[in-house]
Amino acid sequence: MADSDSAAQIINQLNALVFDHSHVVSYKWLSRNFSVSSNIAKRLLQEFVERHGDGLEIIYAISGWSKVEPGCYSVQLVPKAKLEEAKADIRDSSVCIYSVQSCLPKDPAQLWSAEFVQAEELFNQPSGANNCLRDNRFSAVSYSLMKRNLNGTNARIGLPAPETIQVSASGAKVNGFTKQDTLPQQVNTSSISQKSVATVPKGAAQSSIVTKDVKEASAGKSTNASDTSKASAVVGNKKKAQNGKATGGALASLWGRASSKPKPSSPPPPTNTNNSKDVLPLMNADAQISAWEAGGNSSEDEDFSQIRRIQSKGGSGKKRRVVFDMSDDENEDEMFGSETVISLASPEPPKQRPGAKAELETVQNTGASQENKDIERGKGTDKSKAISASKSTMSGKSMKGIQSGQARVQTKSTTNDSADDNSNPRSGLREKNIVPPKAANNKNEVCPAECMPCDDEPKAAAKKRKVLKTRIDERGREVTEVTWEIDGAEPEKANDAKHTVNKPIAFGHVDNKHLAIGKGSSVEQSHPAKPTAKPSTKHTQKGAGKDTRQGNILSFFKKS
Amino acid sequence: MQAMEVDTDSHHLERKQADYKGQDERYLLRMQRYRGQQYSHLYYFRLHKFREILNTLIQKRWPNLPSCTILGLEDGKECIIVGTVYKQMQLKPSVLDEYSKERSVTPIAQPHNFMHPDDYLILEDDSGRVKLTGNVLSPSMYVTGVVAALHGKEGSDGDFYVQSILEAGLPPQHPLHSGYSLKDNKYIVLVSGLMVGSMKSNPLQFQLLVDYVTGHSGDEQEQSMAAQIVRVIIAGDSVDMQQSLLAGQSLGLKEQRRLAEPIKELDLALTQLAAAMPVDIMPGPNDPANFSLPQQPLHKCLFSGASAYNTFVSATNPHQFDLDGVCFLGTSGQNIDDLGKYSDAKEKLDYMERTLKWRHLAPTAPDTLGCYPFTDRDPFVIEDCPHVYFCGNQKKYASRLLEGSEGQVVRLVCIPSFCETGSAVVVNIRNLECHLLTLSTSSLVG
Repeated sequence: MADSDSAAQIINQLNALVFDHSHVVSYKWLSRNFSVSSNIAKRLLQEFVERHGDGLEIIYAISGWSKVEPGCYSVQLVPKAKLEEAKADIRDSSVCIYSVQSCLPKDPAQLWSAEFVQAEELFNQPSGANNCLRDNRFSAVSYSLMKRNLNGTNARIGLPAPETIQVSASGAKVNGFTKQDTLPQQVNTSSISQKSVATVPKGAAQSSIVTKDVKEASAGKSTNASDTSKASAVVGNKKKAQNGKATGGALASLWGRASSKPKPSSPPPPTNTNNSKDVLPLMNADAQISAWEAGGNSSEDEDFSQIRRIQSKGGSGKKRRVVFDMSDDENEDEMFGSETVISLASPEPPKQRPGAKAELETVQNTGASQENKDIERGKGTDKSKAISASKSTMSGKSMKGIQSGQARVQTKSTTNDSADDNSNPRSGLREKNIVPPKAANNKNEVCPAECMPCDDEPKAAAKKRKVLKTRIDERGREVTEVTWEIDGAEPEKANDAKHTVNKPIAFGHVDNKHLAIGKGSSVEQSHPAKPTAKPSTKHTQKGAGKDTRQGNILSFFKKS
Repeated sequence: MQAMEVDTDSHHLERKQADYKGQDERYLLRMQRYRGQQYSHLYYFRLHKFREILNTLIQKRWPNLPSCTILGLEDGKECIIVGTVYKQMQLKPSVLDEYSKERSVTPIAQPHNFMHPDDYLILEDDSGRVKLTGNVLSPSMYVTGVVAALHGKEGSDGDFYVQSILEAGLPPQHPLHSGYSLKDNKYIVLVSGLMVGSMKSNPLQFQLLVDYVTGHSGDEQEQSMAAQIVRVIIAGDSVDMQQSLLAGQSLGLKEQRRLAEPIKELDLALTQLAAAMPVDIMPGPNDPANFSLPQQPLHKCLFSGASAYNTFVSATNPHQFDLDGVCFLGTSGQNIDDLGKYSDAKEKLDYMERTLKWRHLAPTAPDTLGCYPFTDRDPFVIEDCPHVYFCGNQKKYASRLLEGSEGQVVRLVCIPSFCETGSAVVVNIRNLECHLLTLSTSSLVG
């Protein structure tokens, strides 16, 4: 309450919310939405009621020892009209405003649902993010022993992931996820969370709650950690670009979707939504959403849904990789008949040899990449702000693997380890996202299919063309692959599997580069690396690329 | 950004802490391998265990009387026999009823209690079995599976005429707060039957509970009370699983969602709780856990949000732990409910008291209560007397302080089902006093 201006501002906004939007505003909703503590939120409501009490329905929470039933502590929600009556039944009652609304809800559940929707948004944020739901920071009572341990819960990370991505994407023009319904919320959330981070008092309560990653970052502040993650992401992307090996983001994303293997997806991107200082995140969010929606993702959605369908039918655990063109339907058929038709070639370096390529690169580039990275980091900082686009931490991570010179870091098993390293490089950077690097990484590993990026695809599609590539693989077999090349003006990018996949997510920022990606070359380049890839990868390739006839038979059995 | 400046809250409390020691190992099935064994081992170990316990008691009470096995009974000679009670019940449902030809005679499903005036008790030991007679022993009180020592003599027609009964009695108890000195009040909240997602449950009510214990609601005085709550125990039936969906067929996406929705909602609430304080969640009869006792902890994957916290404990169904030297033991209610079906008492607390005096949490397991066929022990034997003994998912709240012959003091608590009563139970671990916490939104309606 130090600043009466801000209080007044909030109250003004409350006015709009309650009277114009018929919003049910409970103290907890208020507290989360404006990042004030519960107690202050109650006071704000009180103030609001005093100023605008007319035509307002108030629900009070009254609590105390019941006179009716001895030995019973009672907490009740009562409308204003029944307040006195309720007070009479309670000894030493304490009364607080619970919520204000323009009219009394017929169903008490309405009181709950507004709050629940908000809580759900917070809950669905990337698991790495720390928010007021997760650290209970707005409560008057803190518990110092509480720790969130993201490390032990790898498995759980898969669930919220898709939404995560959306959050990240929201600020940028990214879209392409068919789950639009969740999106608006996400956007909203992100802005909120951003704010909350910013506003969190760095008091004891906060520090005790800091996630592990944050701690590692040695920067002590949650904000820092998040910044870092983003920054590193930036670095990763850039470097990718510079290396000139990247595969097309769009294509990658396509294939990414098709593959049944877990793929790195982008990390929960930072809330890039905006850095606006607007006190009312909600409004911003709305605007953004509408803008975003207006941006027209409909066509893309179609494509994606199509892909999904295909995936769901064909992707029953088969290792075969199929490349298909989004635009024509026959491909879909092809794909199911993937056995009969030639190779729907194993698309993609990116996903195909997740580990292998990376390793190669690692070895080759260690020195160089390191330099790049440094440079990038510097840039990243500046740029990231300017662009305010979400960057994938993922790429950050892959970069790190390289940087650290651990040849095998990229392989799945070790990923977690590498995650730890992540935090260091980032610590100096500043930006507003909350995503701790580690969580991001984990997520990538764990929640594959859902996270697949697909955004740039539409743009890229315009310039795609089919290319048949024939080569001799390590076993001396002839492999024919059908790949899609994008005609790109720009140099191709560096890429290891993760990079490519990530890119789409990091999209808002990376876009032109992505479009420009020359795909073919990347494919070729990647091949040499294949032999070192994991067994499963090899397998895949075999099925897809090589002896078609055999593939057919096998697949037949698999199918049945 | 301005909002930041608003946030100057002078009033801030630190939640009290209590030392927690989980004692659930004995209820974990981790090391068990099922090899098709049946339940004889369980009864054998139960009898064996109680023989040890009862023998010392017999020495004290009837130092001059001989003990013998059932097979060794002699006509008219007074003696002591130790064995497992079996209750012969004519209304007891049998799986075979379904196939019996006269099934129309007696309805297969009895309403809720299978007692009948003609029920009688039989005592079994490893040698044989004998029908019990006499007025001392009331069949309505006992259930199958209880082990007791009986004093009496064999009657003319092969019955055993019981003159007096010796039960194991309350187990020995550690002193309250041993090793701790509690000067302040610390509370533990017991709640059960949240049934998130069911038609009966009122999500707002649950949210009020969460807000209360996490210290959001109320004024400063109320929050300082909330700060004294050191732990929340959720004793079973937390979600409403839509059993109708689980028909053994694969589920469509939509059904999966419907099935998962309540769990997610619960997870959200648990996350709020776990972010503020320690929470234990026990599986209950309707939860997505194994059916038979001991129920194993709900899998952490169910609670992707809450399980990230070190404050979140997924516990077994009989759940036992020490909190600042106060021993807690409790179930989600199956054991007591089952006693309610096969025996008779005035109130639920009496059943609870009996289980303590029999020193056995679930005597009717494995007879009428699902139970894992242990081969090496009977985990339900109560070795140490708890200070707080609770039982979840009961119709209404009840509580009583039970005092044992050797100075044991036990707080018995029946936790009412939250979705029906909107109530939780708050126990003060300093003095074992307890009261009800009721959340109500009924004034909003109408």
